[in-house]
This record gives sequence, structure tokens and C-alpha cells, in this order.
Amino acid sequence: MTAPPLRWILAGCLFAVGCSGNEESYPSKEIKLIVQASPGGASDMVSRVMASLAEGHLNVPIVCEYKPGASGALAFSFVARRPSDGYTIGHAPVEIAIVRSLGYADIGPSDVSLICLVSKTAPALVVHPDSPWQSFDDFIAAAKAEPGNIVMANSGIGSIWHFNILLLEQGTGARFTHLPYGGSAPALVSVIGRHSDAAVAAVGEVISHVRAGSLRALAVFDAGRAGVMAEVPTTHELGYPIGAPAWSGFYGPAGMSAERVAMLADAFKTAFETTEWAEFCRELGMEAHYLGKEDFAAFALEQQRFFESRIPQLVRLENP
Amino acid sequence: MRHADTICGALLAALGCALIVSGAAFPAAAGGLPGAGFFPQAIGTLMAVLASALLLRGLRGRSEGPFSIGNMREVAVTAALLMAYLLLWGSGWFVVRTAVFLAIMLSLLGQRWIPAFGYASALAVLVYLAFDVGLNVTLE
Amino acid sequence: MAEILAGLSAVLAWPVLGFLAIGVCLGAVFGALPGLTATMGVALLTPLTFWVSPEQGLAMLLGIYCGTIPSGGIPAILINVPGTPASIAASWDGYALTRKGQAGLALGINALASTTGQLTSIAFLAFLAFPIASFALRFGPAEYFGLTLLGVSLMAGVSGGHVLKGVLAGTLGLALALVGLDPMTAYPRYTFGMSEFLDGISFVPVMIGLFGLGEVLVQISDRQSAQVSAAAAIGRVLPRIADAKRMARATFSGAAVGTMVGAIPAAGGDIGAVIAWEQARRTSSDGDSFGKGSLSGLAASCSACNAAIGGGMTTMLTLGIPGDAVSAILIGALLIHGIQPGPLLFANNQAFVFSIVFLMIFASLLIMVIGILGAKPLAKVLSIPAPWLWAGIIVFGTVGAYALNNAVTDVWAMYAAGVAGFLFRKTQIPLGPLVLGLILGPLMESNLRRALILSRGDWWAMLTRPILLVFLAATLLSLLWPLVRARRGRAKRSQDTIPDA
Repeated sequence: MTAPPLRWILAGCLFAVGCSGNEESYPSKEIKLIVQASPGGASDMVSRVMASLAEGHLNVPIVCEYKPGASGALAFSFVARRPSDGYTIGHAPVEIAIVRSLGYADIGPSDVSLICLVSKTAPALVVHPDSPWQSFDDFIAAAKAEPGNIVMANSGIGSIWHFNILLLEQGTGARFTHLPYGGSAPALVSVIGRHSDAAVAAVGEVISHVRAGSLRALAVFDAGRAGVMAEVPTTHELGYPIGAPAWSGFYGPAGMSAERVAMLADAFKTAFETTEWAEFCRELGMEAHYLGKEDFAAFALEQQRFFESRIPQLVRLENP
Repeated sequence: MRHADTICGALLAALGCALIVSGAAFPAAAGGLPGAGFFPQAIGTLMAVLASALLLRGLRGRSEGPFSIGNMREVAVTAALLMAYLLLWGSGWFVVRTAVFLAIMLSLLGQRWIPAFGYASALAVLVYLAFDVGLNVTLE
Repeated sequence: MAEILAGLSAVLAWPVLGFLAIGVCLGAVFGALPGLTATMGVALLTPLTFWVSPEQGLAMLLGIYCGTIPSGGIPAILINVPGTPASIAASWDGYALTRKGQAGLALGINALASTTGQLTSIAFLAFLAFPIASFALRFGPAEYFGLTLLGVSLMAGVSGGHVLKGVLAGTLGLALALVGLDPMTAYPRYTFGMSEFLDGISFVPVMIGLFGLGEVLVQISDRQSAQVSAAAAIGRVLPRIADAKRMARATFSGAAVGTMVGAIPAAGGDIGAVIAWEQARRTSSDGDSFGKGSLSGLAASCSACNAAIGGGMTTMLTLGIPGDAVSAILIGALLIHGIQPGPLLFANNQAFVFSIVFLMIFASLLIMVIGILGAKPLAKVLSIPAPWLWAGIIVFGTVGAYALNNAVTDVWAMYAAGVAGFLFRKTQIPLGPLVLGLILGPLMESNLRRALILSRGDWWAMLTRPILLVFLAATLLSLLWPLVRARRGRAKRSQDTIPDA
């Protein structure tokens, strides 16, 4: 499965681009960034914007390639099997810490070389603006008064926002009727169309509907308030320290040399510090948040332990 | 007896029964709601009933002789070549491999070697340029 | 009125129109090649739009969107291989016309009906956006289930006379759609332990295999009959006035159906075109000719799959809800330019909405001109020696199937579907119902089960929903219709259409 130089010879002939395979100076050719989702979603946008901001620093193109499927497990396994020369890297979402617990693939953060983390997205609880629940406490009180009466749309069993709903049930003692959808967008539509009562999705996914007045946000599942929805209280303030954010980082196959990881991390750090990145995160309702190699590794492993310990328990909770 | 109907009917009836049996093994849902096995069983039942009807029709129908594939040899050769090409997918040298595959296919379909190879090479390079260079799809 | 003029003047600038033209041309290429999708085109070009003004970037993306679907009909007509899933229904009558030596006319009708469908749906967007949006919002799980039930009931209608085999093929499609995680409980079904199958069988590779590779194998197996002589193949491009008048009703009712179906999130031009084709067949005085080269059938399906574009844009702009993958990317592109789709967009920035309307009008007129002028040169494809054409279809289909998800399993799915498509054609099992089952299966199952969760397991409670009742009535009608017709036309018994044989 070694890549022959044919593609480079051909590209070189056609475009008169000199391509010496000088391995002394990394990087000397384009870097492939494997995205675990289809084009158009948040993962794709984060990857493409980061790639376009970082490639100037590395002087080689960073090209996104899409390998969607199995909550990202296909892409994680694919990248892990590539040569660890730093020319194939991947976008690491929170699912990299989850897929093993779900049994989709035997891979986790400790099986790859983590590079850095660039953003975080907290979930938010939303209801229809005409619903009787004005606050998080109203909502929880109603859910406790009549267990199972409130229909909670989720973005798919096993998705990160579904876990947050389960954490909410566990943390508050409320009980909902769960209505699974194939993603956040249809779940939010079902609340906007009043087919279900509430949903949990990323702040960035609900913000446009909240601004337009078609959804009301009751709480953000985080310690600190979200920049784009500063008026919405957090679960921690309300006395329920729950919440599992989604995040975006980058990783490569296990065994990448420390220098190459550092070079990539520096490039992404430079990209992270641009105003474009800050602006992009604000537009999409994400929180720009940087963790270097060590901090990201510690964080990802802690996340994996969290999901490993909670998923069996939460799944039991849902199917009594 | 009409062979095509009989064979299709038998195969699909078997598939339908397999769906019914496998559906029973899927976990049931709480509260009397249909679980993961509900649809496989419903579709399996429908399929088994309809396929049995086709099977009966095939057994009773007039014989139309064995079903004809036409140029059997060329179809089989093309299918086998394509199979070989797919087995070698991702083994490197995409352009050369593709050009050779297409050239062999064209010549077996009665095209002359030299124009076939020229056309096959052009096609392989075009596809490479469109997808790998243009669309960032790694072809190797 | 001032907003309309402001919207128009914002797009009447050469750079904007230039980017629109680039987008339309790229879309035409992406649509005509079965392995390339509008989603890939839009995703590929979105980064480019960061460096240009919002109007220019949007012009290019809308150009691609409007250019892809009409040109997807071109390979459907010429070589029986739909360029996009939306053009599947167009191949039934379009390819039959090509075989009758009327390829030029089929391409001309494709161009005209596509643009008519797009313009009609854009008119709906401009004037009836909110009524359509509120209709789309009323679609809860029960209503979606009703829609899919109606779709499934069309299986017999698109079986071309082989009703039993057609419905069986349909159940096979429904069964194949079961592969993957159960949409409600995420329990893996028929995945055989492979994570590649957790998300189910990808539809587009299967479509490429069934229609593309399957067609190639059929043509190889009966070579003599496959050759359409190039001289007779093209014929006139523009339809006669009398024909155009006869097609008008099918075209406009197709556009209305397409707009409505397109406006419903998760239902698109592929379903819309089949419903419109079947509806035109039922209401036509000449229903027997459908699938055998009916001009009205071609016009209805081309018009409907294009009208779905305007329907999808309506939902996206009014509600901020993506109707399909392309509009999801468009939403992302708008957000990056600081524009929030949603009701506020219509209230605060109506000029921008009209800019979009005008861009789409220009794009759809441009693709019509390209389609008509290109008809004769494009029909020359038919004079390429058949083996060369087969080689092209095989290699583009294979690489295209791979390129969708960069997955080798998709290429194998394409190959298996190709062999199946060949055997099905040889045994006269129609492919239309199979495809319908594959598309509708997941929607049907998940929405029925969602509806039952909402009604707490009570099947009868669903019947209180008016839209569902309308769909149930339509479904019953569509199931009983063949009986009515059989009684009416017993004298004139005909083994009618075979859409894809």
C-alpha cells in the first residue's frame, strides 16, 4: 500500500511544479486532512478554515478529504493505519473518545498522536417560544411532575447531544420521552414545528433560531456562559454541574515524531491566533479554545474515561 | 415452468423468511412500541408472500426456454476484468493500472489494440486529473 | 418594490454574473457525470467564495445548484444513466425517446421543462415563501410517514406492467435499506460486524451500479440492438407548438408537486419526480405511452425534479432549515458571510432575498440556453463507438462511487448493484420500484416509529392528523386505480410500459 511517486511525477509534468522528495525539511508536499464527516457540516467548516489559515505557515497545501461513517470511526481507523510521516492527519471530534464505548471501532485518543485542540461547543436546551416553560427550573419541574410527558428530540442515539440529555435526566431526576432523529437539524425542526417539546443541540446550531425567535434557549450545559448567548444561564449556575461539550482538534497516526507534531501544532496555533479564526468561531457560535499536545492528550483521555464510565450506566438508564 | 420467475421467486422467498427469522432476534422496544425487528419482519413477510406468488406463477407458466444472456462470453469477461480491477484498488499506479484495464477490456470487446490503448490512457489521465488533482480524491 | 429593484441592481454587475455563469457551467459538468454530485461541487467551491463578495460567492454556488439538476437529465436521456438521483424518472421516457431516434427532442424538452420547473418554483419562493414554509413545518413524523406510504404505493405504477415483479423489487429495496444502525435504537442490523455498513448502503453508488454498469452490461450482452444510428438519433431539438401545448399541463403540475415535495426537509427532487411522473401518467389521456417515450412524462419528471430546488431554497431561507446536503452547505456559506437564513432575513434584508431570486432566475435561463444549444453537440455522444462509451461509463462510475465517501466498500456496492441491475433487466424486473424502496425505506421506518413514540404506541391516534389522512386517501386511490383502469380498458388490453428495460 505504499504510494508511488507517479502522482507527483504526473502533477509535476503537467503543472511544471518541482517536487523533490526532500525528506530533510518537513513538510515538503501537501498534507491530507481526513475529515470524519460529509462536506458542509461543522467538522468540515472547522477543518477547512483551519487548513486554509495554517497552510500559509507550513508553505504546503493542507487538503481536506472526507471519510464519513460510523460516527467517524471509519476515518479514525483509516488515519491510524496511514504512515506516521505527518502527511496524513485527521480532524478529531469528541466522537474519537466515544466510538470505542459504542463498539463502532476499537480506537481511541491513546491510539493516535494528538496534535492540538482548537474549539469547543457547549450544548443548549431549547424549547418552542410559545411553550409554557420560561426557565430551566420551570422545565425541570414540569418534567418531574409528569415523568415522560415532555418529548425530547435528540440528534440520534449515541450522539454527543443525546448523552447530554441522558446526563440531564440523571443530574436532575427528570424523565423525558426520547424522540431520536438523524442529526441536530431535523431534531430542531421538530421543535420549531411543535412536533416535540424540547431538544438539546450545539449552541452554534440553535443560535440562529434563537435570534430569529423560533426557539427559546433555557440553559447552556457548561460552566461559563456562551459568548454568543450570554443572556442564557448555565446549568452550573443553576446548580446542576452537568454538560459534555463537543470539541474539535487534530491528530495523526500513532508514532509521529515529536518535531512534526510540534510543527503542525505551531501552525495550527498561529492559525488559531488570527482574527479570522476568532470571527469564524463567533459566527458559528463556537468557543475558540486552544490546548497544546500534552494538555489535549490529558483532556482527551479524561473524556474517554468519562464516556467509558458513563455510557454503560446511561444506556441502562434509558432501557430499564 | 418459467425459469427466471421460479428462481427469483425462490430466492426472494428465502430472503423474506431470513428477514422474518433474523428480525425476531433484534431487541424489542419498551412500552409496546415496535422495536428494531419490526420493519425487517414486516418487509420479510410481504416479500415472502409476493415471492411465493411469483414462484407459483413461474412453476405454472409456460416454458420460455432457458433465459438468454446474449453475448455471454463478453459479459462474463467484462465482469471478471472489473472484479480484478476492483481487487487491485488502492495498490498504487492508478493511471497505469486503469489504462491497462480499460485497454484490455476494449480489445476483448473487439477494438483494435493501438487506438484502444491510446483512448484508455487518455481516459485514465482525464479521470486522474478530474478527481485527484481537481477534487482532492486520492487515487492510488 | 424598492427591495425588488435593490435586489436586482445588486446582482446586475459583471463580476456577479460572471461567477454565476462559471457556477452554472461547473454545475452542468458535475451533473452530467454520474460520479460527481452537486454537493461535491458546492463543497469544493465554497472556500473560493471566502475571497469574493457575498453576492459573487452566492452567485457561483447558486449557479452550481441550478446547473446540476438539468444536466443530470442529459446522460439519463442519452445513455440511460442518471447523472443525479433526481434524474432517475427522466430516464424512463428520455432514453426511450433516444432509442426512437429523438434524442435531440428529449434533450430540448429536458432543457425547457427543467427551466420551467425552476422558474415556477422560484415564483413560489418569491411570492408564497411563508405559506409554503408553514406547510413544510406541519410535517411531523406522521405526515412524513403518509408521504412515504404514498411513495411506496407508486411502486406498482412504476413497474411498467410487471406489477408483481415490480412490487417484489420494491420490497427488496426496502430490505436493503434496513442495513445499518436502526434509526431509533442505534442497534446494528445486517452489518455483519463491519463498521463500513453502520451507516447503511450508500445510495448513489448503488444507483451508479444499477443504471450505469447494469446498462453497460446489458448493452454488451445484446450488442446489435444497442446501436442507435447517429444520423437518425438527434432529430429536432425544440418541440412543435402543438406538442408544447400538450406538455404544458404535465410540466406545470410537475412543477407544483416538485416545489411542495422539495420544500419538505429530507424529501427532494428524486421523490418529487417519481410522484409527478406517476401523477401525470394517471391523469393523462395517453397514460399507456408513459415509459415508452412520452413527451409529457419526460416533461413532468424534469420539471418536478428542478422545482424541488426552489422548494428546498424556500425552506432554507424562511426557516433556516437545510432541505438537502447542498442547502446545508449554502447555509454554512451564508453564515460565514454574516447572513442568517430565517424569518428575520425576510423582514430585515428583503433585498438580499430578491437578489437570490434574480440569481436563480438568471441561472435557470442560462442553463436552458446551454441545454438547447448543447443538445446537438451532446447527442454526438451517441456516435462514439459503443465500447468506448462503455469504458468511459465504467471508469467514471467506479471512481465516482469511490469519490463520494473515499470508501472502497462503496465501489463494491456499485459493482454488486451493476451485476444485479444486469440480471434484473434480463429477467424484466423493473428497477424503478427498487430505487423507490431504497430511498423511502429509512424515511418510512423512522417516521412511523417516531409517530408511534409521539402517540404513545396508539396506532389510531395518528389518524387524527389531516395531512396524513390526505396521504392515506391518495395512497388508497393509487392502489385502487389500476383496478378501475382495468375495468375501463378491458377491451384494449395492453402490456404497457417497462420504464427501464
